Amino acid sequence: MTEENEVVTEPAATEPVSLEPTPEVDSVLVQLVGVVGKENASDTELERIVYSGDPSSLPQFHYRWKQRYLADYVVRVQTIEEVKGVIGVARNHGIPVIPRGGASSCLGSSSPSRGGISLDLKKMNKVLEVDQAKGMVRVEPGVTFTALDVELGKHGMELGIYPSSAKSAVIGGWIGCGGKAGIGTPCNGTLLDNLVSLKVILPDGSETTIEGANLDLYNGSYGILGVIVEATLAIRRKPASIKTLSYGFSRLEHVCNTMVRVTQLEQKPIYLKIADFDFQSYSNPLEKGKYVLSVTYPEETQSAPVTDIEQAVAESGGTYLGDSYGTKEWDLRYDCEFNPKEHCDTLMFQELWVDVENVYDILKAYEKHKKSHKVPSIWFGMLGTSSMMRLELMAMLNPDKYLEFIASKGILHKMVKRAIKQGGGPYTIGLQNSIYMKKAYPERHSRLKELKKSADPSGIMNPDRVTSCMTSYGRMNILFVMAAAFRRLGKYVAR
Amino acid sequence: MADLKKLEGSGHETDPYICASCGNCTMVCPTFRLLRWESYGPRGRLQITKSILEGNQELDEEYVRKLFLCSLCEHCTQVCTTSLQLDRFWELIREAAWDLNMVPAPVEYACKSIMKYGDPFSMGSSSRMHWAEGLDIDIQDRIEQPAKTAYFIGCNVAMKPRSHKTAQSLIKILEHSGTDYTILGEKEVCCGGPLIWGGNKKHAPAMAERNIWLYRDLGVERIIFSCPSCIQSWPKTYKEAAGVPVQKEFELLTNSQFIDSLNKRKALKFHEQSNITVTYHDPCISARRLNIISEPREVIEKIPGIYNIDMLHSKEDTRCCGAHGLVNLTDPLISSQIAEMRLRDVSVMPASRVITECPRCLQALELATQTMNYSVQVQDISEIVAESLAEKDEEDDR
Repeated sequence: MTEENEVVTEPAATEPVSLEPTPEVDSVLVQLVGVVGKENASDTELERIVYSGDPSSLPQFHYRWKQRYLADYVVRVQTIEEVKGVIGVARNHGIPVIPRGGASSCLGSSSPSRGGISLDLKKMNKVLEVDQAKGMVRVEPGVTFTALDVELGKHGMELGIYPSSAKSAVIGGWIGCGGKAGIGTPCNGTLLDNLVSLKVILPDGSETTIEGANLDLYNGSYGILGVIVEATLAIRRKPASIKTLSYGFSRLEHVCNTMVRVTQLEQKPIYLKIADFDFQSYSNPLEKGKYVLSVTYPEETQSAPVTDIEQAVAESGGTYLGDSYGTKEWDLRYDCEFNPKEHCDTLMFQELWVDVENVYDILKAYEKHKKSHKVPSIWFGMLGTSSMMRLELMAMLNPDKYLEFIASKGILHKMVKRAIKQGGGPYTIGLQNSIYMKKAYPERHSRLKELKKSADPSGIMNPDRVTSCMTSYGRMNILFVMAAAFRRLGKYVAR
Repeated sequence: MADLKKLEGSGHETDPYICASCGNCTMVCPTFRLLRWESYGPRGRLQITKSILEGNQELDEEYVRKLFLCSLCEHCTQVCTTSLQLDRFWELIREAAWDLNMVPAPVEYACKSIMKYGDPFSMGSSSRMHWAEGLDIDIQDRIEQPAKTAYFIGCNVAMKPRSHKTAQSLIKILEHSGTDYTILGEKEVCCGGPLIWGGNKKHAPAMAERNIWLYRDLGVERIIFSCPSCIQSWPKTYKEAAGVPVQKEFELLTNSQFIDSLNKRKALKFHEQSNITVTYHDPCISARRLNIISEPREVIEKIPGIYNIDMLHSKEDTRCCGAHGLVNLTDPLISSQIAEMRLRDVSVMPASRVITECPRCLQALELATQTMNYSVQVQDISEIVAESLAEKDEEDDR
């Protein structure tokens, strides 16, 4: 374009005009390179695409809610000083920092919402100290669960709690997301119960150690308060062997009642899962019954409370599914959640954190909606504590079928509201569930908001999550309620 | 999408969309484990592919380089929660890169060399029998002689000096067991596998067929391979060329499968070894594709005085040596660094030898012992078996 025909457009009068100088894009990269070296910083489109995604398999129009869903820069850090340096650059330029571990959380916990720096912590992957006598391990945030297991195994120890995404997650990411339900949590406690201390780099670049009551706020803070650079956790003796018992049930009420009775037994399981027939059909198909309950115990310390479980199962008309079925259930503990994705374009899901006593009520409602909307829905639940369960409700969708898609969104929204009404709420918060935070966990929301305001006044740390949101609950509620009203159209849009 | 037309009708068009992005593949990918950029891992590459399919990204040199730094070790396929055949998917994308003349120069050179000389090293048929130099068994009578058993040497074994001992050892085992066998001598050509990995799949069946026709004329019923990648590529190529799976016409065996079958017939006699502890490195293709897990272990167990201890990452969970998928041509340094990572797994084992059954693994791990200055003997399974065979006098005494 020549100067003669170049058209200069004045900004519209209504547009706010920023008085801040436009940051020089190159200078940000140059400064980042200065901190981490050329080989650890990139602004290529290719890396930005890769480092902006996670398992949230959402259709593109979902991303319209986000202002800029691609990171501007990708930076890999290996030391605490590098983390401080990167935060310093971000602070100076007022650009967001999005901490990233294994990026295995499903609800946009580490995907950008307004560009910024994707801060990859996977290279901080050292097991710093194993103290067998004190029963604790000190690790960097990028340690994988496999590597940690190997290192602790040398001492005959284990962490004993793992997320269902343990094959791809790293310890810092699980702490960021709160780690309430996983393999081992029912008997060994949640991640918070096992956290001894955290070392965090705050948004002002200072380093602090979090211990005691304050751990509750930083655990599950999704990187909005700073970057976790070190964690000390409890460890325990590794059980020599485990045993999984699996039972089939013909009625939802029966599987839920039995599950509640199992949770009330004195000996707590390592792993407890319930799922419906359709969910199982993608990993370990059920030959007897429509619902499955699988429960795993260590074998050597105390034998599994088989008699009590079998009594509960017999009273509910359940059937033992055999040793090999149970073994396969245990083997699939890390994979079964994602297996259905093979068979659909979009696996839309919502994760709820609900009292075990309320699981039946919620699933009954979900199954009712499934029938009325003729939406291909599936579900499974994983016990977190002795009284709370992570319930994953899924819809297998083709995003091109907009009505089916939006109706499913509406149903899942209703389920979250129901869970909140019963004292629960969404499980993972991330980008997508932040609209529920204030409703579901008002006290935590308020405390986090206050802390965020003082620790990160410029809001550079993982914005639009937990304490703030890109849209309001009210607006989304109207949208989703309208979406759920498409139920009458459900029969016309069903597969 | 224009760049990735290869995907249309392949059955893999939707793979990037089926991917659940769980990230399991990233953590096991040898290239990611070395370089630590997610874009080198399968999930990252799928995301870029999706972006290319949607027209938001070009199929550029940077992407192609990442593509060719994949060792096609199939570990991603092994752990995929959505059962994607990722190795096949990457091969298809490599075909697209070949069509666009974008494959790395060394890969293109090797592929053209195969078509011209019958091997990826431009050495030609006159070098095919180099492996037999120094062999104290006369094999001239075996060349192109009708027999039910054939030994396919393969380019890496025939032409790379370090692997000559593999072929010589297998000949000793064949002779010891009294097996009637044949070899193709200078008429043997590349299996065609590197053409598939290089993106030039259309020419691969012709290479396989040149060997197969000869075997058919000689009345061969079973073929022994010292390289699991050769065995893997034949059914792939031949099936599509002639409509008949090659494994239905011939029994295709790796070294360990063949030796195991001899042991089951009690055709081999061993002399006692002096308490040697070894660790078996499963080649990716053997363990994950061909499911050859128990045979090599049983072979080692049969040798008195030799004990195998498995590494933490073994059997289907084995880790790549870095030399497969033409990574060793695309970037020899990265390839050798991946081998070093694998040798670190070896170094924590109380083993004085690493046993394997793939010439690429053998050469890569042996190179790593030099670059890491770590002392451990690397052997093909045929070597440890051959050197443990009882001498004729010993057998007679028994």
